[in-house]
Amino acid sequence: MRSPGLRRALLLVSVLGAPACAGPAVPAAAPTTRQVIVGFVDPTDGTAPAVLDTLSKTSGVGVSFVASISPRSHAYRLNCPVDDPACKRAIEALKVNPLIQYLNLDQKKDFR
Amino acid sequence: MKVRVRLCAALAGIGALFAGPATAVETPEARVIVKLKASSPLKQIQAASRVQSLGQRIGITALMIGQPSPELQVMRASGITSEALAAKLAQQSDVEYAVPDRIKTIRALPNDPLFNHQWYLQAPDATQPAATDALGAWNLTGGKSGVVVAVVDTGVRFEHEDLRAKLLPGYDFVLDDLNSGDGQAGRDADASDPGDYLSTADLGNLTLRAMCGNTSTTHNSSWHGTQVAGIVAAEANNSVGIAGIAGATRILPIRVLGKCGGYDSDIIAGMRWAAGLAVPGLPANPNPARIINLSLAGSGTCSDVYKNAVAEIRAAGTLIVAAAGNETSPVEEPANCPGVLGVAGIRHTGTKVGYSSYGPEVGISAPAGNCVNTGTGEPCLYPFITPINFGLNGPLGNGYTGVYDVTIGTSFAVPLVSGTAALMLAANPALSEPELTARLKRGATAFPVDPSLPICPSVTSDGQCNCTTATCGAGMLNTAAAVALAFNATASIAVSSSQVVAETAVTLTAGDSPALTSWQWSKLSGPEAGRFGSPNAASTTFTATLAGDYTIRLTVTDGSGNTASADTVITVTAPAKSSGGGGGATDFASLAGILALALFAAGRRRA
Repeated sequence: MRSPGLRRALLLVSVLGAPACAGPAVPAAAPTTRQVIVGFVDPTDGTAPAVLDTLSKTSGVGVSFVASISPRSHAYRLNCPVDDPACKRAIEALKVNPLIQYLNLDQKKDFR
Repeated sequence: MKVRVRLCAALAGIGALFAGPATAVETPEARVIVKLKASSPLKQIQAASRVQSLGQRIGITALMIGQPSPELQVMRASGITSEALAAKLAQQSDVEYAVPDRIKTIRALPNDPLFNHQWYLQAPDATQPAATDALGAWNLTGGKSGVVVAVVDTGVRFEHEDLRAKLLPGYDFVLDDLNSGDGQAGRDADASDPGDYLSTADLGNLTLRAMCGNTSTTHNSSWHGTQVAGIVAAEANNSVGIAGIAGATRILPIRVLGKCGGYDSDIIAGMRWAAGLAVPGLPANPNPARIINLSLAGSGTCSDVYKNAVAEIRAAGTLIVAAAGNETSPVEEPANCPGVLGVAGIRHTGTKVGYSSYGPEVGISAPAGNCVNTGTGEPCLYPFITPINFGLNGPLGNGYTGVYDVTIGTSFAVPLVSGTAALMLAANPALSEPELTARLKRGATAFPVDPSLPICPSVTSDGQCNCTTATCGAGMLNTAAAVALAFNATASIAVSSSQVVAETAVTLTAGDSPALTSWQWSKLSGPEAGRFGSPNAASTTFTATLAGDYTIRLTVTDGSGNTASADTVITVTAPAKSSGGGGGATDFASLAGILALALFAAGRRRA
């Protein structure tokens, strides 16, 4: 019996299909990475390999799980330099995914 | 030793001898202050007779025991509580108000040795009109240990003498090990602050340096979370250090800031957990907070992730209080998010302190600390005094900031508001999150005007201006007034089911609130009037025949005549039709039609 998380992941794969933005491969030794917060429409197991694979194929860059925030929102690291146009295209591709409600940059705050 | 034991036993015996019978203890005695309306016919008779007549009306024997003014009578009666007597009198049509005649005592100032330097907790006066009058609030409530304020910050020093009795275990949400610097991998249950210093060695780590915006500047640890926690809840009257504003309130330390700050993902996860919401992979929070203190900020508009988190946290009943920022700029995130109570900073005089950010998203202003007239070797005249650790990097000995330290920032205005909200919840646990915000604002004192300063948003070269409600919120935090307002009636509704089938009764129950004397249920909108089982009781049923949404209003009144209302929506659905499925059931009309056709056909055949 498949888990709901796996089913959602497979659904993501089937809906999204081919990469929405196949940017150039990011060098393995990229100096920095871009951390984002993805809010899914439905509760999603953010660590599921199929979810990561789908996010990666959608964005065209490597994606790794960072942390869970809520059952529907998780932080991910996009393997692309912050100022790289491919990174911006990757973010835009993820934003228009119908299963993603929102995508925000995971930015820093500090005490005041 | 034996002598002392015998003496104690003897004293206990004497005490038992003097203990009265249980019935004597249980007989209540009421003292109530009552004021008649100008039109009352009782005004025509002597004051003592007025009291007797009032008592006769409600079936008790009452005596007048005082007359503080010609309009007021103090009455006493046996066999009834002051609250119940006040409530009965308040229902008389010619009584303007009736309130229990409560005992007040002279409250000594806290014995904390640094309390005299905590100017922001004193009653306001001509010199410092922005002082919050926490002293006045403490005459109304000392706070409750069951009220929890989450300090979402750098963590705390658990061993600090003025905090250790007030701290719950909390949690560390700083995920990145370089950002965290606590030597523990990822998130963990240890919310202690290891120090957020940035050393030369740290700058040598390119990853950490990039995380810190490629800075080349080192800095010492701030112990910021310990400072903020102390402003809320440093133990008072313990002959040590300072007094927190919120009395017995406890702190839930949530560590989200490490070296060079913290990520949104950690902050939001920490906020959610603090409010008792689920964070995947983490144990449930056993001590959910009703108030979240965010003395942190970052530039930018309110992002979707904060909007969603704030909405969920508020739905859980938790108030979020956040710093407007110290940039003399538009309000920063997350204070600029809808539903967050943003706090701007004001000087002791009540005008905007130069560094404070400001704008329409600010909900209220509070003292943030300002160093006026400071020359070389002179003290900062209006700083905060906070608990702190003296370690420049890692922790060393604990102590307090002093009058020579520049301990200022909107960070420190926020815990004054959070602590005030905690006192309000101690006074009235039934207050909802919107009611907390509304009463904090309603209790606020109007901003003063300094003719030498421009009106915000225009500012002087150092950012100062006269606050307006459009730029600095409802007014200056007034802790005593807000807590006094907290005692007023509150209305809340518990519903057995928000969706029912037509002709099915739904049970509506009013939430607890101090000294409620009347309840009134009414229908505001909906397809029909519907029926209330007990429209003037604390609990009622509601039944409707027609399907649709019905908005139900509860209006409550307390013994002092204060009213409050709450609404809820009941969705009534049509009864499910019985369905035969398949070829479909034949109803009575159809059967009659078929029968008529058959008879018609038979008749034609016979003809």
